[in-house]
Amino acid sequence: MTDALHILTPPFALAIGRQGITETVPIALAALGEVVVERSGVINIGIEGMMLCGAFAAALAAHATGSPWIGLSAATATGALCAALYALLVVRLRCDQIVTGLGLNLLAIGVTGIASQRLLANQPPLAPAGTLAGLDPLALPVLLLTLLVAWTLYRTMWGLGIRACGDEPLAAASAGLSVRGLRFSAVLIGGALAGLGGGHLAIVIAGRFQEEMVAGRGFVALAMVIFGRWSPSGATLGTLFVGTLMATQQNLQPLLRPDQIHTLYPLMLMAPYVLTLLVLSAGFRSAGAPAALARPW
Amino acid sequence: MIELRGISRTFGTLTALSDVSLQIPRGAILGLLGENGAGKSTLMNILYGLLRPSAGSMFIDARPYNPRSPRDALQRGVGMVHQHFMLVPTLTVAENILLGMRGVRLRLNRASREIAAFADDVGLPVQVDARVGDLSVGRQQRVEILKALFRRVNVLILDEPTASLTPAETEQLFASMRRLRARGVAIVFISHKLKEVVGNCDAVIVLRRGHIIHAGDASGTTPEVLAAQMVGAPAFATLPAPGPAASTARPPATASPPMLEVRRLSAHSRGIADLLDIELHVHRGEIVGVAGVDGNGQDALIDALLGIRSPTRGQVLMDGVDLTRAAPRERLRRGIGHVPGDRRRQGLILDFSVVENTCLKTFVRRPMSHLGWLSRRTMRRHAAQLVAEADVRGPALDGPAALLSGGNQQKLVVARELHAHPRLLLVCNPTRGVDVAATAAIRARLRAARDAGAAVLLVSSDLDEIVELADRVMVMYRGTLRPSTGSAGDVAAIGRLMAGLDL
Repeated sequence: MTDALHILTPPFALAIGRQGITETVPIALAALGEVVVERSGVINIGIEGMMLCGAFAAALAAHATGSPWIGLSAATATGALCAALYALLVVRLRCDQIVTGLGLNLLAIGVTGIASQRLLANQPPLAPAGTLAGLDPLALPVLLLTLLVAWTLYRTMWGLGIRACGDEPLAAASAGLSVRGLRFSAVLIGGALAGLGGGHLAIVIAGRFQEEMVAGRGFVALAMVIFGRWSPSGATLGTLFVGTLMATQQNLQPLLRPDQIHTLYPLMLMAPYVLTLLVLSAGFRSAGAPAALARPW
Repeated sequence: MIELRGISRTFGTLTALSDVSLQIPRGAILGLLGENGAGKSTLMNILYGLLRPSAGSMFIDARPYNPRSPRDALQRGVGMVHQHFMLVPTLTVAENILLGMRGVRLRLNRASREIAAFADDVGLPVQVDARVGDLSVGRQQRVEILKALFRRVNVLILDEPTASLTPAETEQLFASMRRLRARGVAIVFISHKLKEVVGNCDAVIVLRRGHIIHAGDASGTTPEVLAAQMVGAPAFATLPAPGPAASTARPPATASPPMLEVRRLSAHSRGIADLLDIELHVHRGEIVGVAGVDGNGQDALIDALLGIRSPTRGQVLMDGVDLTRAAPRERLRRGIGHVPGDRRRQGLILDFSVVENTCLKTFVRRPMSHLGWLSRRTMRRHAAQLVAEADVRGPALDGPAALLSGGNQQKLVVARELHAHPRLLLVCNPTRGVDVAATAAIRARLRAARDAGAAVLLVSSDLDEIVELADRVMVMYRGTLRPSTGSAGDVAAIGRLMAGLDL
């Protein structure tokens, strides 16, 4: 493993940084959406499924039209569509949010699995989306989105309503606000961003759709919302940490000797998730959570 | 000027409000008095658009007023400050006041300056950038009032605003009310504290069982008169001194040691005394009535006797055994029965079946269960027996208790508690919201329990009930308990104590 020392060289570190940003983008998009959702008092466990549906829709649309941008738009719309279903169930019909979210995840795995075998078998690689300022095409947009979400939550009347719904829905309702309407809109936004994140995964990171390709990133996004204490900037920073870990792990893989495939390799794949767990358990518990989180209205 | 004409409201067969007409001029404070369940909340919810009247009409400045929601009410200038504040504790004062207002952008700095200036202008200064959760209860209430005023409200409903305030905060509130009155705001002040109403209102209305039974200037009345009207006794002054019930009162069985003995019992919450040096004895075979306007510490007394709440000092003895620190279950085991004042929340579990409700206190023991397994058959047999005994009419034994009418629910609770032959029975407002036939049945059962040797403590805000049932009468006022000096039927003496006179 003497080669491992070259991780310390500037070019290598730069590559990890660049790739880390790319790995960050889909998780950050989902986490930013989830910040809005949770501040309104809803928890979207179905984020993973929404990302998966977004990824599938992106691949399908990009495959059909040849345009990565149409693919990303389709991903966003599909995420919002999934979210509309979710909101109908948990906001309008007051279903249990955890159970419904988990159900949505299973549904997404099944539907995209079957549909991709039918519609996307033997697909050629998708057209790449290029770069923006030498970085991932959505890197800068994610940065701007972080500011936009913060501005919306703290500097608009809608954001004030969202925050009130998450902490004391009764007070919001008595002030004449529609708690369900606000929560519905928050879930739609969360779903659209999760879908876009999934689309990024398919088009920018993988270049194709694979079954269950989200691989827990939705849950990492949920964890990073807690890590970031329900603030947009906190969520983005948290996902940058995880994204960098993922990129580091991927760049270290080629350094493995063949006999380490069954020992070190699985550990390295696990590392970002384990570190996420460790960080979360080290004092970042639910302190500061919206008081009415996951309580139907 | 806001005017109500012939407002009625029924819920099923229950008439909550019947033909209520009143006027509130601008720049006046109207006191609205009444016991729990008298119709105060129904009336205010109709005014604020939370309920629609079954009959009658409302007008603001001679224009028809038919609010369908609080939003409609606010638009017409009617605001309400609920007893339980509608504030978001994590938001700042300014954010809470702005919540639900029009606009896209939240310009917090500019709005904060406006709100601070407005608050100073109406004489309710407040720190606009403080988190509401960090403020005292009195300050939070000020924020609630500002929230309404900032929406250009000119009719302000205050629902029991002094219930959770310290005396100093209460004085500040009254000062604020006077300032608002001077600015032309009409205020409806809901309370059951008589002195507060007489001392701070221009006009007073007393509601009892959905009817207005008194309306007039506050200056022309006294706490004494109002107390009588609230609880339904004729004016004390005009009553012949000992009532008829007194002559039939049994000689108290004071020869034996008391079943319940309370010594210098005090309980405080947030530094306010809910109970102050309570001294009380209840002997076997007597009913001791605790009269008093609601909210003078009756709940605290019962909770302390049951062990739900621990006293700050004093002692509770039952049959000579000190139970001051005993757990509630221990007390029940020693033979305390309890008919709570709120049967829907404390007496029954409404979603549970009638069978399950009859076994709520006995299911852990044989014969209702054995080694942790419920014996459904025994429970059912027991329930069937209770229901037959108490003449509880309603749906099947396996149907939820929620389907029983109020009177039948109460009969079920009383039957359950009496079946265990309690040595000490604590009863709170046993016939509130109960029809005439069920009332008679429940009172007869309480008398029978007394005659069978139980010690009964009857807490009731219905003076008729106290006079009819009690062998001795005590009166609660602001956390203190005083014996009525006259006989049990001396309504005038009881009334004076209830109003806090004769101190």
